[in-house]
Amino acid sequence: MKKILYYTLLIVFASCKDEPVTNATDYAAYLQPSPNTRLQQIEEELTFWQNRPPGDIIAESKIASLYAKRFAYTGNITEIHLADSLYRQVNTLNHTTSSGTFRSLAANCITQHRFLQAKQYIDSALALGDDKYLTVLMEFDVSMELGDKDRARRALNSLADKNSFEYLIREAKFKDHVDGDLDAAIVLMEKAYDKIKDNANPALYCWIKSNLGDFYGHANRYRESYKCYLEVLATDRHYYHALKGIAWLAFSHDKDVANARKIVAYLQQRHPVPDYELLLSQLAAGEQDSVGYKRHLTAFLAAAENPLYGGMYNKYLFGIAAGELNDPARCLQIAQEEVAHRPTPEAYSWLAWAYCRNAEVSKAMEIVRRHVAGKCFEPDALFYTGKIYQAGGEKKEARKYLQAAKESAYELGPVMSGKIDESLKTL
Amino acid sequence: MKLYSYLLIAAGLLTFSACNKDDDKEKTYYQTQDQMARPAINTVFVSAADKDMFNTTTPSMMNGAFASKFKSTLLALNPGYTTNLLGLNADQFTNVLVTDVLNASTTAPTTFYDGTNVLTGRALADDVIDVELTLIFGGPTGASNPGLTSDKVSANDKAFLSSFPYLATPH
Amino acid sequence: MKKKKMLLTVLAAAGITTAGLVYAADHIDAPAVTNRSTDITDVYVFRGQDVNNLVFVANTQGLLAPSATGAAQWDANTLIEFNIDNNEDNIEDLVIQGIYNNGMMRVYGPVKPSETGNRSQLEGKVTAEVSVTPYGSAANIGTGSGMKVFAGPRDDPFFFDLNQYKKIIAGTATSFNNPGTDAFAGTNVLSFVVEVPKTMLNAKNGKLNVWVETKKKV
Repeated sequence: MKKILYYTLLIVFASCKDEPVTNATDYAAYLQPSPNTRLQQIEEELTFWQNRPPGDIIAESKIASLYAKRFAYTGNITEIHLADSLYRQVNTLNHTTSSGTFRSLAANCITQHRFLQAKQYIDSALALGDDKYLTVLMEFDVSMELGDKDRARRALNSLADKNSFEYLIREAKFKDHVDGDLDAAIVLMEKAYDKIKDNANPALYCWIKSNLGDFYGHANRYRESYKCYLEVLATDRHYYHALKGIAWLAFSHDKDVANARKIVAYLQQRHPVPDYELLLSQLAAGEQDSVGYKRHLTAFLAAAENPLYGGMYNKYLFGIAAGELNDPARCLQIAQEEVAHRPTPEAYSWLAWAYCRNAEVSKAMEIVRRHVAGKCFEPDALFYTGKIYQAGGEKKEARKYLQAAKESAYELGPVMSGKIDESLKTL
Repeated sequence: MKLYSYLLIAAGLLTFSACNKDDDKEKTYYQTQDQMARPAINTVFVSAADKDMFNTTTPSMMNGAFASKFKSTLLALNPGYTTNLLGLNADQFTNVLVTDVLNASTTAPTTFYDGTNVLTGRALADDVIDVELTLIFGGPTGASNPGLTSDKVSANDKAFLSSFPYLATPH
Repeated sequence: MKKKKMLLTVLAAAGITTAGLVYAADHIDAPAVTNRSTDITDVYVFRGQDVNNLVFVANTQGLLAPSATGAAQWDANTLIEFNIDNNEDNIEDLVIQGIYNNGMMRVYGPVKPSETGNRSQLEGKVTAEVSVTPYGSAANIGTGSGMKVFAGPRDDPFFFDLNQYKKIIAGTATSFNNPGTDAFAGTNVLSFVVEVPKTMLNAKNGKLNVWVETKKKV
């Protein structure tokens, strides 16, 4: 058994006949520390509004939005909590006259994965009724997070302009998440990019380009993915999501752990969020460095379990509890919490996997049949589904889902791919 | 699967460039998102629920759609409203307000209201908020509810220019 | 090789199964739509320095702090339109349109629109244009067809104690303060300014009704 895993891993690692897509000279310049002018602008703007006397809700609202913007660069979660309390204060004056603050509060909740609370804010904004277009866009976003695909669809259908940037990026998300049609999603994202490319607002440009980078990566179109990330960095070298994307490409596709680690080391200096420790644990695993793997995973857990993050890292905490920690009780706890907060097919896939790990296979099978099968295309959920069918003795279904998971080998990374191959061989 | 997806994308791109070419032949239209004339009217008189509708209702249709709502808002803001400095009762006043256009004169000097001339435009320095507050809260003489008839901000924080483009340089 | 194998055995025993969870869920939240190019803050119509002219001002994207002003952008898909009724029926008889294109603000009209109401197209030919004034530069003034035109950031000419007003409406205050506090002090807007000879406006009885619409390309 262990031997099989060993050879599988070796094969996965050695079988990369593709030319590498990343090249350290392309992004070396972005790993040199340089002043973040956009962050400086945010600071200056903050100073301007903070000079206003207390009780100025226009200033407070601006300050809150600047905290939320600054979070994107600093990764400091307290910014989001500060923004939250300011918005709540502002809303005591705005809640009967204007929906804007409800939307800002909802956006903050989405960042924190507090989706049910976000839904309440959006419902309040809808009840007020002004700026309905903007509220409906967020109604879609929240409904998707909550797994309410019917409401999400209705929200999309109610938008008059089916050709706007805002519509296209959401239709793309629907195609990807609900229909599982990544290719169609990419076409829509490209169309959305076309809409704004001539009128480049840097923030929007970086958003669409880095998302396109992710989508191309998921579709195994690595070169296009890489190109997108480089274009983002050419516009904003501090758009860390793009650097992280390149690190993942270097690791997952090129098996270039050394350069991936270099990128992550830089990111950790600039943008202290727990995510990088998790990425480092994967790099260590890829190098079969079990000591490093454990060290980084422990560091990730210590950071991500900070109560300030709420449920933001539940996906990973679940994965770790299910895998490394091998703690079925903790798995069940996280999965139940997640299902209570957002009853999505993905959350149900965790719950099912948790039951499966707690030796309640029939319960797991029932949940999979009712809530997950054919409804969720996240690679890890496909993996769990396959494994549950395997445990339930339904080999054909198991093979189907594991093979589907295998198609996302890039997203799952080399180690998980090995696990899938191993399972498939036993079927 | 892969090949198919590439074909799809290629097809998508083709359709797109075809569309762009068509733009020259077909007309490009622009659809109303926001509209405005008199300052703060929308903010004061239009409820959140009506705001989107008001902002896309053409002015000639505003009276029919919103006059009675404007009147109830006026009477909610100032339950003691009888008439105002212009001698307008609640119906007359809301009839003026509800059609949100900025009246301007090509003959008289410009003022929002200077005690003599009424609504011959809006000059940069006009204290439009005090005019509106006085007409809403000030009663027939303009002297009622003194705490509500002026926001006690009477001028811009930067001097205007005497020549084009008139607005002060940015801060 | 042996060493690796040993390591791997340890690894497998440690149960590295979480690898691969990093990337899948990593979509970024949808971008917020705020301070839109279509948000009108104020409209002014006044007699020009040359009293034979009227000046039309449309301000958009308000409450820009100085450090945020340089980044504020015009949108090539947003039409800014002065609607002018010159015969007292509150239906536009003339429009003056401004649309941003590649660093320039192009003006169409004053011209009778081919249709009235919420849907517009660019009417006729460009009558005047000006290159948009960047933040911090002296004002560019364009001319054409007897008109002057400006587009760029300016001090927000509006003054109002909006905060106190909101408190009064929300019932947490009962009157304005003396002195009040101008909520718009120190902030900028994007201004579109057109000065037009009155003779081009054909006002009946010397009266015009004006409103501004922002319209998005569909």
